[in-house]
Amino acid sequence: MVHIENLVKRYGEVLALDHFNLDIQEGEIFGLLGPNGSGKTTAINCLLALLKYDKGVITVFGKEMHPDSYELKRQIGVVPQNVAVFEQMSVFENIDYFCGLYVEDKQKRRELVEEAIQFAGLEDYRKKLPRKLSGGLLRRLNIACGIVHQPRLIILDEPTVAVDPQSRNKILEGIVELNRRGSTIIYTSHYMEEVEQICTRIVIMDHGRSIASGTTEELKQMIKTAETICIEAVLLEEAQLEAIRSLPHVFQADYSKACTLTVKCTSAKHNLIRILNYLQENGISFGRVLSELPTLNDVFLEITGKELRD
Amino acid sequence: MTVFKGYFLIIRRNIWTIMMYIMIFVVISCMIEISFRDSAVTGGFTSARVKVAVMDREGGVLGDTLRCLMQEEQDLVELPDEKQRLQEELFYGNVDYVLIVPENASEALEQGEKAIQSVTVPNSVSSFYVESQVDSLLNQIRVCLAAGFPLEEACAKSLEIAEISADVKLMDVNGNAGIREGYNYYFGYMPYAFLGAAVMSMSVVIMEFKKKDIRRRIQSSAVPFYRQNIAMILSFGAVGILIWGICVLMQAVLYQGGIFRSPHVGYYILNSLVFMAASLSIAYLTGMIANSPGALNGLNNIISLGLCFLGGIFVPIEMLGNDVERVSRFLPTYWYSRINGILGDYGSISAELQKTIRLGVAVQLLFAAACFAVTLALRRMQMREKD
Repeated sequence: MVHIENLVKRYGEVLALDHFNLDIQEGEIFGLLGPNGSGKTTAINCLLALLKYDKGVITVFGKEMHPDSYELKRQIGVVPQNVAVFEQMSVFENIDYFCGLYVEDKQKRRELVEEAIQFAGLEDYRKKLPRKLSGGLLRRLNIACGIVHQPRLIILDEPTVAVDPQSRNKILEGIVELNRRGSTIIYTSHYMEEVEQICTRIVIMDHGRSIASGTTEELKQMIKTAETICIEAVLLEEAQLEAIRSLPHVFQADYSKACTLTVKCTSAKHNLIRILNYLQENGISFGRVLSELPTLNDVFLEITGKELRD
Repeated sequence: MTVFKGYFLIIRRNIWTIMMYIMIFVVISCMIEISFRDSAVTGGFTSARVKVAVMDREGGVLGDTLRCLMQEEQDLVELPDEKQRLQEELFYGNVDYVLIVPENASEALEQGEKAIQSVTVPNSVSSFYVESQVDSLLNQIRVCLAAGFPLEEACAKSLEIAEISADVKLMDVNGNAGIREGYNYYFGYMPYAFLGAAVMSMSVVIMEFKKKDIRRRIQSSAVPFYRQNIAMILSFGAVGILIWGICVLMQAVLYQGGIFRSPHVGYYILNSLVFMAASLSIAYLTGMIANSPGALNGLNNIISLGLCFLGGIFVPIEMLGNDVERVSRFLPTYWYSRINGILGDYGSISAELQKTIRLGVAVQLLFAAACFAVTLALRRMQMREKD
């Protein structure tokens, strides 16, 4: 459905997209994950032909995308990163206005606007001006304006930035619902939990490049860490730490000043039991024990050497 | 159509601000027009008459002649020949000139000496006027006496000559007897309403539409760029016509037809529509420059008041000095005001005046085009910065 090949975009000396590639199939919720400044929004703007790019090919629905590809644009809905609504129009007027940019038939538009209002849960606010809405409601209005014409492809650029957890959940549920209704979703975010939660496939971006792609499970399998075990242990000596490191399937063990032993293991059964046995056998007292499966942050950390939210 | 409707939705929210500007303008222009109407000088001619008292101490023919002349030409006031009373009457303005014919005045006249005395308010204009009449009569009598006529006959002939008056008629070159119609004053102040209302309506819209995120959202929609521009131009035109229509309609109501009674109705409409075009292009530029409603308010006041003062809308340009006028020639308000002045002052428009009007219209249109071009360049720059 969307194909991006060797996309290069420069802002002067800065290389924002460096031979970026992407393939999205119909019906997916596709996640573009990366830290701020990794090129997610630039890629989206190029995809929408809002930005000129230096090199590469972009096709949407099998056709090359140009600034005047209005028939293609008609089938795309955009929810920008910042709330982009008119301050001087009410909730209803805003949604109706943005719907009017795609749908000319008045009756059809009225139905679509009502559906979008209900979908976003804005029934009680239809006459309110945006400045009277809370941050979460504003975000919902922003989404309603982008999806009102029921497009085939919806691009959501970090729609949950600065949103409270309750509204965030409602938004994420809404996105899954839109996908269930038949829309393909491109979802950009630097919140790995969200991407993990809703996306069927993910591309991790850094410095304008796609550094890994696949499903959440596929991405996690790409890295060495299969399990991270954290144990509160008292007075662990260097020799004992070295012994833990030499245990089977353990490839990293650190002991912090806060008396926390962090052990990273490759994929294997009974990693935790093996470590706890060692501690017991050597008379090392321990308290809380925590075993974590790898996250996308671990994937990013292992590939790039830095945290997603750095 | 959607973009076009979007402009009007935003304008509707600001309708009271726009109406406020129009109402302020209507009130100001009506008040000024009324004050001018009350102090207007009509174009007819009447010779001035001065209050004169004649004290004939000689009691002869010369005194009678002078009294006759004063009775004919001035307002003769009868007063007793008492020094203190005469001073009081002069002080209180009951009399402007006291003409004294002393004893032996006739003899002094015949001998070529000073024959007449007078008491006046020092440096009063009216005293010079009466004095010149009296001197003229006495000179005439002297001429007659020198020609051999006796005093009585000399006085009679001189009086006859003095009573011959010139028939004065004022030439009404402009065809309106020098009076400007009330609606001309109204039209004179209209640029302030046009600028204020245009900036407060269209700039607010432009400010909303130029926001990066909204612009990008519209750009990524299915509405072609040219249709967005056409919608913008159409909405500008519609708002301009609406503001213009309200202002013109109000003058028609206030002045029983107003410009529609004038032979220059076409020129009035042309001048005001062209100025509206200039106002709208100024509003477009202002909207591109201003980044907040507060900044827009400030800019609006600076632009509307500044252009109106410099262009001679509020104060006649002659009062602002030559240097200011040289600068003002580049402003649309100057040419609007000048054309409006011509339409108010002249009943018929000569070829020379038509040339001035054409020049004024051209300068206003050029100003509008220049403003529009600058705004487009600014817009392009802003879009490039964001790319």
